[in-house]
Amino acid sequence: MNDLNKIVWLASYPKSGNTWFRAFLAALLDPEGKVPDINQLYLTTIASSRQLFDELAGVASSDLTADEIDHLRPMIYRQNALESEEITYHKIHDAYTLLTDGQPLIPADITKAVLYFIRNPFDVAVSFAHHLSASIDRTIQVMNNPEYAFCSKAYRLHNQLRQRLLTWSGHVKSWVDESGLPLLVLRYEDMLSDPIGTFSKAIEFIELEYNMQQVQEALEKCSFDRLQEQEREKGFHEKSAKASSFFRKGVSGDWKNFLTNEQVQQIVEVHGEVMKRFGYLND
Amino acid sequence: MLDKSKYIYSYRAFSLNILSQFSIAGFEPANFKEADVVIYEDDVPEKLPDTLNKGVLFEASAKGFLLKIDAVARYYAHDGREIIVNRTGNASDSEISAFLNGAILGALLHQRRMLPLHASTVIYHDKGLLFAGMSGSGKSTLAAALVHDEATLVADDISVIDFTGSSPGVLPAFPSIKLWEDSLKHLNISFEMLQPVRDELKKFYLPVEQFSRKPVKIDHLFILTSHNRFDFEVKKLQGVDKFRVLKKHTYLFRGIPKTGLEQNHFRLVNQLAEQVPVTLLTRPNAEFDTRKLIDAITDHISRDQNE
Repeated sequence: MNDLNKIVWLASYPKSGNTWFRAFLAALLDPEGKVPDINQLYLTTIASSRQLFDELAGVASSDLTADEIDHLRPMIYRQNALESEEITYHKIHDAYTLLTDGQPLIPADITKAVLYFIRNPFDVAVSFAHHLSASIDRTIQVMNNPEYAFCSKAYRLHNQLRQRLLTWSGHVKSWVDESGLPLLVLRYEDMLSDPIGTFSKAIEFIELEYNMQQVQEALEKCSFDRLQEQEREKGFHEKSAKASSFFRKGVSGDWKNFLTNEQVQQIVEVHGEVMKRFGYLND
Repeated sequence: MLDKSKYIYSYRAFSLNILSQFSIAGFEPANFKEADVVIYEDDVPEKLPDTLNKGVLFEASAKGFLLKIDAVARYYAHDGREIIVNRTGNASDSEISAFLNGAILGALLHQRRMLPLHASTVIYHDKGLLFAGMSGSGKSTLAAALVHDEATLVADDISVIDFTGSSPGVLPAFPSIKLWEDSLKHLNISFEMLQPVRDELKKFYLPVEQFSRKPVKIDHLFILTSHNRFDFEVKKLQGVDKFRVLKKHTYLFRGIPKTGLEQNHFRLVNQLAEQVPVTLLTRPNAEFDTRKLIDAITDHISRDQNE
């Protein structure tokens, strides 16, 4: 590890447990052991933040094209690592991609580790549809579209930078198979069924030294019910305006109540291979 | 001695007389005898010898600021007096203008010990209203909507504070507002004839006729932000919160640390915070009717008057 390997990426396709983990990390790292405020998860600022870019670049990203911004992003993260005295965490929904000049969006020389959160795409489809306030059919189209990107409309200024997501399985493979970065896969289903074991494995991987009791206490502070309660009371600024809530159900297998056979088939056709690999599909 | 024949463009912005070898998009031409700032083309080094503060695209020293936009130009502003531009290939004047009228101008204003805020300012119903906000907060759209409703523009995007009067004001910038295509559509303004800020951006200069050429006293300073609810929220800030948000909304704040400009900046922000009321104005981040935002502002102003 060189001096710059300082960034831990919390990478995932949307609606796969990333925010839950961020709340957990905020609880774990809080020196006073406070319950994390879901509206103050600044410790894990999203990598596509326009403010983060503008500040570190010294130029307004609103004067740059999406491609120009992409080319600068590796340098932005390098500058971020240079200026940080401690390990820095960034949530990221971008797929791991190569820019047109062949360099990766996420440079290896500043990466400490990647925690990759994965969730059954059947459940992702339901949760993501709620988040996008789109139909499940439309959401499956999004998950099957290799060109899909967040904040990609050129006629307006988005509050975040453009993020290429690829397809659901393209996203998984880009990080897990193609990045070559030190990476641990965390299944949302395991986070639910064995929270202490799964979260402990994650913090061990990123070399944080906490005992099982501390992990358990942090988990209690950000149980799904408590996160949901906070959102009910004060709202959550990461929720999209059209969705009724960010923290919806936080369960696995809910897809059985929503997906038609045809929709299941559309997902399996495109993502079957990766689903099998991660235990989401039996032979 | 400056050979003025080489400088065919002269402008006035932020109370500065500016001579330039090339045209600057959005600026207003002016006649004057003495120039405060000259802009010309020449070689610009790739690095500064005495860098104190660095970002991805800039380097700052005690007296100079270097900005590197590979596809467009390298810019060097120094001593608050000169901007030297080293054009990349045949980048157009409008491409050059996009960054000149941005970070590089911000740096020059800091070098002159002025206080530029990331803000747009208008005179609306005889009141000087300043709207500060991050990129995308909607300050330009709001300014354009107010101008459409008979307000007078003072500055868009960069508002420089004038401390010469009895209470702080804003120096006139230039008579245009930079707007994205969707904002123009929202305001029912056709963009087909407008000049784009850069060839590849769907952001345009909207020329404005109702423009103030005199400094304007700030009656209300708003910090414009958004949330994912559908209501509008207005909240007056007090004490240290005022200082904190004004510091945060300083244009190109990132260029200040370690350069020796910190103390002066601190003093000016403090002075502004002490002398003007600061109000947090939060709008929905989803599509909304600009008229409702204007109503929220008008309500606040009349309530404030009656207090």
